[in-house]
Amino acid sequence: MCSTGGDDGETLLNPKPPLPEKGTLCRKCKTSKAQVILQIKDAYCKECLIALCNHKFRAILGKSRIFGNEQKSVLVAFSGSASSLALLKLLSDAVAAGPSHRRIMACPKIIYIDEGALLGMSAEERLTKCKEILEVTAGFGFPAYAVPLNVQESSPVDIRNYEFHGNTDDKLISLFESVSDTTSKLDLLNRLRCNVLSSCAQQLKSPLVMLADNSTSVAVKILSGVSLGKGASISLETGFSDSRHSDVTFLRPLRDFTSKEATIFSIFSGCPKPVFVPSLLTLSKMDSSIQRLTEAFIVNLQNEFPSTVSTIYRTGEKFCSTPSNQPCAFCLGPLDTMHKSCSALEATDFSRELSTGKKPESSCGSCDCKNKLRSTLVQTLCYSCRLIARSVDNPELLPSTVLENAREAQSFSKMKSQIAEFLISEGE
Amino acid sequence: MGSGSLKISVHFGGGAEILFDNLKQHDLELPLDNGTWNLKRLIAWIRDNKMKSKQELFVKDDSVRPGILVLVNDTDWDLLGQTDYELCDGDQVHFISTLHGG
Repeated sequence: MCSTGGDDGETLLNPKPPLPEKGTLCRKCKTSKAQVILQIKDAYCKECLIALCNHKFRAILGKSRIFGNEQKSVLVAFSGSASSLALLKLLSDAVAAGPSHRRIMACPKIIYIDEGALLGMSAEERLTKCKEILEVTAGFGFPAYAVPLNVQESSPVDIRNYEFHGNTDDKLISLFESVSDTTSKLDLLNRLRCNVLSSCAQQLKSPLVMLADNSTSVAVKILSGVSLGKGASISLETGFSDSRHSDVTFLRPLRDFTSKEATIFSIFSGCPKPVFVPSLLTLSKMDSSIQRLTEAFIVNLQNEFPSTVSTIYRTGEKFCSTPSNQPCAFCLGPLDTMHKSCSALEATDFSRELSTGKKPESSCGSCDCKNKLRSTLVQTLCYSCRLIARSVDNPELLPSTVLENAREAQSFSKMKSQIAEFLISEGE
Repeated sequence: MGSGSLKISVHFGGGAEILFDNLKQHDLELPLDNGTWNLKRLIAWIRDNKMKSKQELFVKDDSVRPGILVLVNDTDWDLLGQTDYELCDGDQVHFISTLHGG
């Protein structure tokens, strides 16, 4: 499929090679005993692994030319995981490096999103988690902030003075309770997180946000994204940089690191122990959501065929999205629902109409009920966001910025159709 | 204790600890009555003695579930023969989950 040898995809994934012999030496320095195996058979010692990761990290950032000679503020999204710690460690080393060692001119700030409300954690538990996050990040010497996951705009505060308010949590909880399945919940959570990060970055005047997505999670995102109808925005959600949000660019500098590499690096480089923050997926069954199932599928396959993740990830790199004039009101990705006639989308909508016996987005005349809001909203959303909007029982619970975007887009297209005859169309 | 015992420390991380009463470190004393202990035997022992439920989130076919990294004294178990590695007194065994949500 994507081979360069011209074998038309007849080569199958290679199964796992036999384990190396005991006492294998590091393939780089060839003097120390190897301590970890990466990829398929590359054995490294502790020092060489640390050097390799640092080199790779700086090479990725250097190649992107995002950091120049002027210092740029970077917001690091910190979840407490080993990958987040690895990212923070790599970044802090790169910032502190001498000019000859490809120093990165960045001024990092740490942000932690408190999602405890979603899991019904008590106030005490949530504040304890914040304290733990503060403890592990304190050693890096960067300012740390916390923000509650929220449907309205909320401001990041110094993690030491963090507090949250029950009434804003209630809105978030009722939004998630109105979503029927875990798959949509996780997808919704992902979008809310992005919006929170982007608004925090603006408030903290950081033009950049760094996410700790590793290649394993990128591979999971690619495959689950395809099943969730996110085709149009996959390249943005899994690529190195994502500039959907006007003033903020999201970066994924760890996307070349496997989860094993990032985790082992965080241990070998002496990072503090990761903080485990429970999520919607914690202790859930394998088949509870598409995302969980995809992860299990990829990780199990990777165990037998060590090139699984890299194959998916390299294939994902070939995706690109066609820019559209109008972004989706929710995820700000390209609107893939504009061309309606004779499309797969039309067929899907038609079959939904037939099976449910009604037009789902038909508004009931002049009354101002939630169906009317839904029909306005849906027209301004991309395919995968439509799926979320449909699974939400009451669309009024969605973030106000999304509803605002939708209204704006709607009145814009109305105005456009009113003045359409005065415009010179592209065809002429 | 018959022919003595084997003292090791088992550590859980990355969310795997929630399967074990939220304790990150377990100091174990394993009886040496029935011969040596390899990692395969240890994993089965942990499953039978330390886990009350959700065994499938830790164990899969005599080994740990894919996505859980195993380190013995800071060395990847892939370099030690995986489940065939024979435990020694004082070994530090780490089980670290890299999966989302632990």
